[in-house]
Amino acid sequence: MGPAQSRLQGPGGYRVRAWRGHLVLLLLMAGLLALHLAGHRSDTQLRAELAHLLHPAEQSSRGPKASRDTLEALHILLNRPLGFSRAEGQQLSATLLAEDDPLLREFALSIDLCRLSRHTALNVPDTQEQHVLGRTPPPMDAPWWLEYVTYRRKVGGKQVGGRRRLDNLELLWYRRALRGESPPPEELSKRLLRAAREARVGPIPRGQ
Amino acid sequence: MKSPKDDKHTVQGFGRKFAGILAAGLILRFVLLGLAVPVELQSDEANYVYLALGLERFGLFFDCYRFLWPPLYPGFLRLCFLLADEQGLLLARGLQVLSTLAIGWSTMSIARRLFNDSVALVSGLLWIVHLPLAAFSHLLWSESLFLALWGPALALLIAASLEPNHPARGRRLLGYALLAGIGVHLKESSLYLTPLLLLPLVWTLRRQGTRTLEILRIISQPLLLLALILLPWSLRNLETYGRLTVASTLGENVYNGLNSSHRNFDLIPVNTALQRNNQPILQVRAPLRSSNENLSPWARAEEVLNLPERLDENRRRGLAFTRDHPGWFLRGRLQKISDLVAPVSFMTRHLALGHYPTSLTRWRTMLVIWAAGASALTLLLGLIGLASRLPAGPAAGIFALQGGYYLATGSLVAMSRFRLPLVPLLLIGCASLICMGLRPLPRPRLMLAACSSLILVALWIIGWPTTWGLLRAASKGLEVIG
Repeated sequence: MGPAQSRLQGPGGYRVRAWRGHLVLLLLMAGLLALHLAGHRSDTQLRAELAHLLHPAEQSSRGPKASRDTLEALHILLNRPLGFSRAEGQQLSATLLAEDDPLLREFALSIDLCRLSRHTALNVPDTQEQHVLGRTPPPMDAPWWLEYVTYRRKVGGKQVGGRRRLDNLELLWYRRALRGESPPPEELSKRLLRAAREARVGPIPRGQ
Repeated sequence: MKSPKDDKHTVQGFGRKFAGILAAGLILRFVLLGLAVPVELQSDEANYVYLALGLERFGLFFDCYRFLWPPLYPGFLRLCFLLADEQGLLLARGLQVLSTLAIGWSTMSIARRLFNDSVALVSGLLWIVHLPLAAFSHLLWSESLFLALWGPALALLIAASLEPNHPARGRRLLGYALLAGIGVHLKESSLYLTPLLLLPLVWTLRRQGTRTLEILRIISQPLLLLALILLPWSLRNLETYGRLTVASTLGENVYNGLNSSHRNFDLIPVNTALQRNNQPILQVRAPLRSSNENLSPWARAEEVLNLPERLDENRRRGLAFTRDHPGWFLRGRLQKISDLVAPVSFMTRHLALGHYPTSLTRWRTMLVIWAAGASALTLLLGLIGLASRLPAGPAAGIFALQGGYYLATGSLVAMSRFRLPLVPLLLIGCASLICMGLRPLPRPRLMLAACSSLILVALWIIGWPTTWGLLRAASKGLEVIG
């Protein structure tokens, strides 16, 4: 055993070298923690990033198309404790649903904003419900189908807009709608009518 | 005495049988997959797909409002959509079938290490024909992928615990932590079990006189690796929800499990379908049905906006309810454990709901008998085999801790799906009983085997009304109820 190695020995000849793996793991964890702290954004910072959406009246022009960063900032702010109030959520929902960018409109129908929405007597999110199902007849084209699925097929019950779970055919139409193909109108009409009838007379399908 | 040449032939012979069993299991699962598609999405399957679509469309992991699920399974489905678009779910099911090789391999490996080649091969044969387990490979729940990680993790841990002085011990423990840690991102229920299962190794090391500091060194390394694997997602949750958490499902499970009426998720979708057809629903025995005190169920804390805080509040309400109604709590646990061990499965549930195409349902009666028989025999013979034949030592500790852990989680919210992590262990117990029988055995072991099997039969009797109803509906359709 060389002098350098003997310096690594603790009491009773216990080798410090044996703890190298632990040290590496601890350093990696510290690195992850440092990355987290460096990337952390406060509520104020997030609000500043999203000013064009949160205060559209004060902005000279509409914001750019939604980037992944914008959506991520919205997602974080909307889920933080005390990040957003119901009143603010409702305001933001209305703003996003009026945007030209389809991704922002769809985001307004996601769980993040539906949970903050004002509810109607039917206990469903008012603004979102009106946007998706308030038009007669609904457009039933590809952009609308993406919105419908995002709003209506979510988990969490009717108070966040969810009603039935997604099925195979609806998923197929969703995949095609992502490529711009509209669902077949007749079949979709039948399905919507049946869904509306079941919603009135039957229990909400649930289970696990 | 065997020559080295004989030994080589024996090993090669075992290897060939081993590979043959894996191939047969794979073929059966692919055949099932071929017959099962296009199986309709059901419940959580649709939820996982919805989360995967959200990830694809927005680049965000949404929560489910009532749950904060771990990210890996929606991530896996999203990857399948990326690779195969409209055929994404078929790809996911196919990859799951392939992943089951790891379950078969690890089951046989553990059996071989604990017993012998014969028990290993028989446990492999039982793995092939365990229909409920095989069916999960084409269903879109995370169970198959989880078991494909958890099985090998357990095999590594058992090897490390049985040979604590082996040079590969450190690597085995790191492998255990790596696989189990990734598994937590699929099913967070194993979060607390993973460190807990290191206790038998601590006990073994202590017994052989290892110093405390050395034990600490050996055990802390896999724990640190586990923490490292869980940290990125936990930090993401801290940033998003203000809570350092891997996942959060306890609050909703407490709502379902510690409330005024009984809920069994093998039954609920079937009963929903029966209600829709104006048919009588399947009910558990009257004393175990509800608290019988005209109590309203306590409501979820919908007014709390932040998800982890809302789930925490649900948990508090559930615990307060339990403190106020201890008698109902105890009665309820009896029914939950009965649900956990009922010989029904998600395959029989899907058959009852009519989710399988006619390519599979034309054999529904045979499939129900096969699935229910496999579940019942695996539970009964597996329990007797483990109670009587499992060698005392760290492996027995690991089996007992895992059994106790899933019994405890299953006593909160029960359904047949929650016993799945125990199935490979029960298959090993079953194989040991078939190969080695009950004699000669010490009296305490025989008593343990007799008691555990009697308790199981009693639990089956408790759950019989719903079990029978579910199996009838699965073999004949919902119209037979009533």
